[in-house]
Amino acid sequence: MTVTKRRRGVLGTLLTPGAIWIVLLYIVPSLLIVVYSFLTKKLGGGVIWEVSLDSYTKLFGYNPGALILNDFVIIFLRTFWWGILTVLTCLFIGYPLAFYVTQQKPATRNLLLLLIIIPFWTNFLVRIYAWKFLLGNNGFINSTILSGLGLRRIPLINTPFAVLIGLIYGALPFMVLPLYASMERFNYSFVEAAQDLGAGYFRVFTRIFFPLTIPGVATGCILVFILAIGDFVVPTVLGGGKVAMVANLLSLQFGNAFDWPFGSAIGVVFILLLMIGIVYYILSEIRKEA
Amino acid sequence: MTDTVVGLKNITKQFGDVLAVDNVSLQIREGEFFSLLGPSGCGKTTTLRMIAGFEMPQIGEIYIKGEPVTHLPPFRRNVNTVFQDYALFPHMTVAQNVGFGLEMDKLPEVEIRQRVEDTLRLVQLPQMGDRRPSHLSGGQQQRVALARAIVKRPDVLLLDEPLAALDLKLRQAMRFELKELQHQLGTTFIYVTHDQEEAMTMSDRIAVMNHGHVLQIGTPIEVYDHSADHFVADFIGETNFIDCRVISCNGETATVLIGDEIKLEVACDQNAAADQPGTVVIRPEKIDLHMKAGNDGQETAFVPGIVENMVWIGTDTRFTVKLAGKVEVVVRHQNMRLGDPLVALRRGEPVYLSWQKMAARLITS
Ligand SMILES: Nc1ncnc2c1ncn2[C@@H]1O[C@H](COP(=O)(O)OP(=O)(O)OP(=O)(O)O)[C@@H](O)[C@H]1O
Ligand SMILES: [Mg+2]
Repeated sequence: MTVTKRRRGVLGTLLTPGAIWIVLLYIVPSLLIVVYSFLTKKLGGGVIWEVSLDSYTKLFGYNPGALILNDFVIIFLRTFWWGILTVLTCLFIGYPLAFYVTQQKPATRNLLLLLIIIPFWTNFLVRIYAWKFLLGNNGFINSTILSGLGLRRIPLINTPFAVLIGLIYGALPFMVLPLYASMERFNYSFVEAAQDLGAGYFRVFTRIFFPLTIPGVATGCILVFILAIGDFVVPTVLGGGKVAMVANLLSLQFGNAFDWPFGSAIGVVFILLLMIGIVYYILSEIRKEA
Repeated sequence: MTDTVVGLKNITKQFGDVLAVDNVSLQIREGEFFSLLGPSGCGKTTTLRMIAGFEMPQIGEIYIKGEPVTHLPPFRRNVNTVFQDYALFPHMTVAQNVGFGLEMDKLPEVEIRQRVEDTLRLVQLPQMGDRRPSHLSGGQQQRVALARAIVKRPDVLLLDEPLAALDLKLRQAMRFELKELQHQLGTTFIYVTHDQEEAMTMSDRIAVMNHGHVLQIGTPIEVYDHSADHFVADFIGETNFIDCRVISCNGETATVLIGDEIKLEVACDQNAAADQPGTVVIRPEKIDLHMKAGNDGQETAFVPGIVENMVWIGTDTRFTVKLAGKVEVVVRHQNMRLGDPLVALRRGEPVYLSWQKMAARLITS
């Protein structure tokens, strides 16, 4: 409010490189996709500059093969559902894990954090192929553990279960790190103050610790959700193409089907859905501040 | 004793190889303002935290209202704490902070609202209930912390340097307010501070601590005028320490020799053996200055000296006087009269000191 003109000028200068970056690399391509989604498909790829709503009617319209929802909507719903499952599982595993890490001595804590970060040193695709080896029909779990115990093999690879495992595996660090950051910042004198006022361990957690780590929870959930629903590698490698997510659908449209407008329309709807969620979150944060 | 509200019996607390509190026993009486006073690291906070239940002693028992509570968690003790950094919950409003303890006791909402309102009025923060702690000044946060702790009407209120974060003016004003509040509530206050002036002005009784020990427990006047040892006398107020040798002592009065010439009769609390070295302690304001020589009386000592240095401070003048045998004594002389010839004295001029014999005390520890 009381920013002087001069300070505003300085701020503006500082923001310029970032603003150029965002405009060129995010806003322009996004607008391009919006435009493409309203154009006509050109056989073999690309678009014909002729306005058409075909892509959207195809995406939301009646699909003769399906009962109620068409296949595309089902893929959307599945993607979001798995996103939610991934978020919940990561939160369920990540919250106690992050808490455990914060309770350690500094040296142990750094070692544990390093262990959480180490997987990033290897390409994600490579790590997901490692899971393929673990989950395969002749993979480690089936041939070594289950047969070793004399149990029947169970199909793991190319199932929704395998996809979920992969999504959770890939996203877990993105849940743990923001949670850790918010717990690290937590001031334990609040715990003592609450206990002093008569709160037992359970209510210290529900009334003090958890509410004060919600920023970390929110950041972690948003990160994990976005990563999970946008994932392409996991459903491809561990789902064997049988259990498609939106990203697979997208790549199919731009790749094999050469239907760029339809691919763009999927992208537009996908981004809009995400933005609704994020804008809602930001607004509720702003309302909380006021 | 029925009027003891908090009792500590031979409490010892060790952190690793740091002996934070060493064999401390205290009896804090119902309704009193009790201070734990001592320098940094002497174990005041640790003692308070053991009463609150945040630390457990390795040895000893703690009683609250006669019940042993040594191993009870904090939420099972009817004591509340005002933390030094206030520890106000940032995600709650002022009213929610103050009401938190009552909510934990599952009181009906109407009663909570009423008591929160009353308490906020008591600490002079009415109409602040809807604010967030982060939107309050330091002094206001301090009052909220106070309100949050007293709203549950605890048996004992524990305060760990609650005024330390405030600026000097506010701190001095808050001393009176705290004392007044304690008077109104009638609650026992246990107050931790390293500021002797704070402890002296507010407390009914003070426990002076050093290195995990309690050195003396007494009223402000007792610890000031009858300091148990060298440390207490030095820590509380300004004092002259004069090395001496005991000539004789009967447990109440002693005759001592200062240097080779000055023979003095002084008070003493413990017996001391003849020829034992000791220290005579006398407060600067207990010494009178005279222009003319006089004689030792039945009750007053009279000693000649030479002005070594003097500093005029408005309300009084601070003299350094050299006695026989290079003994230096600080004297605070009240500037009561205009044109006082004493104030016109210059360095090197003779002057005469007198004091009540019993105002000077022999300390041998
Ligand atoms: N949790 C702890 N772990 C290890 N040592 C501790 C711990 N708490 C206190 N100590 C040590 O115990 C001694 C007494 O500490 P305490 O905090 O009681 O002192 P204090 O009198 O309150 O000092 P201050 O005026 O600086 O607050 C200190 O030497 C301190 O380093
Ligand atoms: Mg302390």
